[in-house]
Amino acid sequence: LPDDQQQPIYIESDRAERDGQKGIMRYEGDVRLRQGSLNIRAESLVVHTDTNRQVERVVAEGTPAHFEQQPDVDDQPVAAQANTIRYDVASERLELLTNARIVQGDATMSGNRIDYDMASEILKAEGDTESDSPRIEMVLPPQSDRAEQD
Amino acid sequence: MWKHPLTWIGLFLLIALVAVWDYSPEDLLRAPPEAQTRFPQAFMVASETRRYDPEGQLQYRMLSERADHFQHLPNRSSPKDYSLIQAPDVTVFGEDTPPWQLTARLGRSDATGETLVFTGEVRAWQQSANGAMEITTPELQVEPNRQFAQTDKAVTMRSPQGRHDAVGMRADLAEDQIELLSEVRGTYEPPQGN
Repeated sequence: LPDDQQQPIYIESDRAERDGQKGIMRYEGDVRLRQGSLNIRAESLVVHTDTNRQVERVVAEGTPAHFEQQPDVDDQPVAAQANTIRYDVASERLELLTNARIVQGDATMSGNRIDYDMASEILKAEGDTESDSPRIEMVLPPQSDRAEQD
Repeated sequence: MWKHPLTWIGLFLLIALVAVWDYSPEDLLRAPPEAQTRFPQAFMVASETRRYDPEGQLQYRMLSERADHFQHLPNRSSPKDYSLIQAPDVTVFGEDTPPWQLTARLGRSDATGETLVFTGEVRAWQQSANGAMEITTPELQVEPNRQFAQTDKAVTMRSPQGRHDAVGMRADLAEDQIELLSEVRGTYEPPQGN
């Protein structure tokens, strides 16, 4: 939701380790992050804080790591997954790296890397000739379905 | 020779003699040590204890309302001796890190003073370049010379990285590395004025 970014971030995990010198907190084991309607599930997750002690960036890893959010009250939820999910809190940008896939309703996009600007809801995807998903794949529901969805 | 019973009896007596050689008759006849340790060998009121490492660096300073020292053997010290410290107020000094402060209801120091166990509303805190850090738990074991602390109890850690609750913790205070061992719950508040 638009005010997700102003919500507290709650994290649960099996273990955690704080590196005070680097200003990072590393969580491991069934990690769940929640910030308003935004949810991330991963095997490990690192929170980077800035000098004002605010969360700057979250990097989640899993096979795959999962992301979910309700962009707006009337929108369908966006679900995404990738081996690495980088969520930049201040700029509200999401980077899905390796085996990336994003779904909203019946529309899906997959590729090696997907960048998702959550504020403007703009997607940018890249393939990778060396990877096992060299090209981008996009599926859009037929016009009629799409009208119903909107 | 080994077949002869007297040989075995003699050997047994020799072993028995060696085994008790270290004890004086009073030690053998006296009541078991536990019964005696209720009474401190010495006590200090409004005490200040300073401990230095072999190079003369101050490791920790401990103020307390009262400290009782219990000796396991009446006449001389032994590894089982310990001290009970009421309302300890401890400062643990690191080599090049800001000191850690610690308060609790009760502290227990082992014979060497190298391991301190604090119980009862234990609070440890430090102000460093990385921000203020506070740890609260019902029990905490501290090894000042290694700058190491650990607990298997519930623990709350408040740091620039938000507030974290967990069960079990290991902390390398010198390296500012803290492990939370299970059931971790973290909360990061959004920037104020949002």
